[in-house]
Amino acid sequence: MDLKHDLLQRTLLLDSEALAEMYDTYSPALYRYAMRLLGDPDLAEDCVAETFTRYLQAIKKRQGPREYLQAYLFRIAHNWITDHYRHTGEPNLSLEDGFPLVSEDDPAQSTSDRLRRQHVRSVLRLLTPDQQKVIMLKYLEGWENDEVARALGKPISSVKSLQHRALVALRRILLVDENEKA
Amino acid sequence: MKKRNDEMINPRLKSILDEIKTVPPRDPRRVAQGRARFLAQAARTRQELSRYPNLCLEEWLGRTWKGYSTALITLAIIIILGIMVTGGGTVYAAQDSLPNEPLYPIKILSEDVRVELARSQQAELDLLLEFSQRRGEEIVALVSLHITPSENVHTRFELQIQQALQIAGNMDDTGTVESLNRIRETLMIQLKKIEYIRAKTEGKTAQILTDLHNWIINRLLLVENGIADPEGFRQKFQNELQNGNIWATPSSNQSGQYPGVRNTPEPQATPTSTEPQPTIPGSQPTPQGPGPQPSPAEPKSTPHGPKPTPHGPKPTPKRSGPH
Repeated sequence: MDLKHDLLQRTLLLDSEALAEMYDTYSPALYRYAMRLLGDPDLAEDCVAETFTRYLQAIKKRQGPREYLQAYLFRIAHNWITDHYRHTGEPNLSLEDGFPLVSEDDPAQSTSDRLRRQHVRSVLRLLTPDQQKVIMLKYLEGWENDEVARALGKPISSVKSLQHRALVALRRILLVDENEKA
Repeated sequence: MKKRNDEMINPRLKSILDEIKTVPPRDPRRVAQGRARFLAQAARTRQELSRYPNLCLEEWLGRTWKGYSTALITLAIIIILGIMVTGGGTVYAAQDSLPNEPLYPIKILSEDVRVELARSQQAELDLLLEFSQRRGEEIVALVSLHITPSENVHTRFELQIQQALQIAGNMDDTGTVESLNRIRETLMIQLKKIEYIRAKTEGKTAQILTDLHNWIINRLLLVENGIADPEGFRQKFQNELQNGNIWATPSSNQSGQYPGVRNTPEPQATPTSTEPQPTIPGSQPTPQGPGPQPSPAEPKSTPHGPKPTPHGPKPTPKRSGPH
């Protein structure tokens, strides 16, 4: 029995040490994931908190995962983000998005960076939720196809197909935008 | 290492995506607050789940003696008297023996007799859980004496739990859930014991305890699912019996034959999935989010598996019991 599987099983039994270990292990990655898609530290923290709360609720209903804890948690987080955007719509552009300033002395550059990040997130939201997950997990989190497949609950062949369509869509939108601007 | 079939991402596209890759550091104060809040939630959930209704004594007595015929009560009195006259002292003395002691086989034999004589499923379940607790106590006692428990001891523990599960599956839904709750409590107690002593051991003993620990966790998961879905539990358990995948250690019996249990094969009407589909709570509005899929490793129900019936087959203890 590998350590991750052992950890999963102990969390299903509400073992306090295991739950603490789970939080310490997965909350940083979940925060990064949420932050990349939301661009707001408060919302990202809310997403992490809600992800773990939903995990406890699943255990309470005896519906927790049998395997692949990480995939399960990321799926909860992504669903929360999708629901958040569905309810709130496109975010207003704020002066501070929580990302580090590349050039603190150059407000124009900082604003430009922030706008570009906002644009990337907006374009990602044009993809289907599954396509977003594939791009985020594979190219930003560095997961392998089999891990992405577990997070999506789909076969690897479907992941590859989603990945292909997502990349085509992103190329069409992002690169064409760039060419037009050029 | 990237797999060969991976689609290469356009470098410019990659650099655009990388703009959101770097994330500012997380506020440590908020991390600590979030962690503490989560652990407090977990403690509350644990408390809520641990509240089980206790059986009152009258109900227990009523159930224990209900249905006994006069002839059987008479027979039991005769047997008890016979034991007291001929060898009751020895049997009594054997009850505290450990697996490495000469009287232990008598202890095991007396347990088997008591289980065999149990009139009702409930009485049988009570005895099996009591005796499985004894196995746990024996393991703890052996380990504290720096003796590695023999495979027979934990195999017998596993067998008794399996028999208790079989009985639970033979009841109606209410009885199954109630029995599974009791089995769960027994397993949790054993799990705590094993965890406690495992930390103090090493080598072969630690390995045996780890195998047993994992087996108990595996059974707890089955029980937890069974409490939520009794019918799914029955199907899964019968599939396990057929597949023989019920033992803690590879060296244990894996022949697929469950010793002492006489299964009556009977075609199942509906070869449905044995597991309730897990879902992510609160994520229903998301169209693509049906929740994690069942593990590919989960055994699927077979269309021709044996089906538990309310009155049988009755599990019997392993006669060639471990000594």
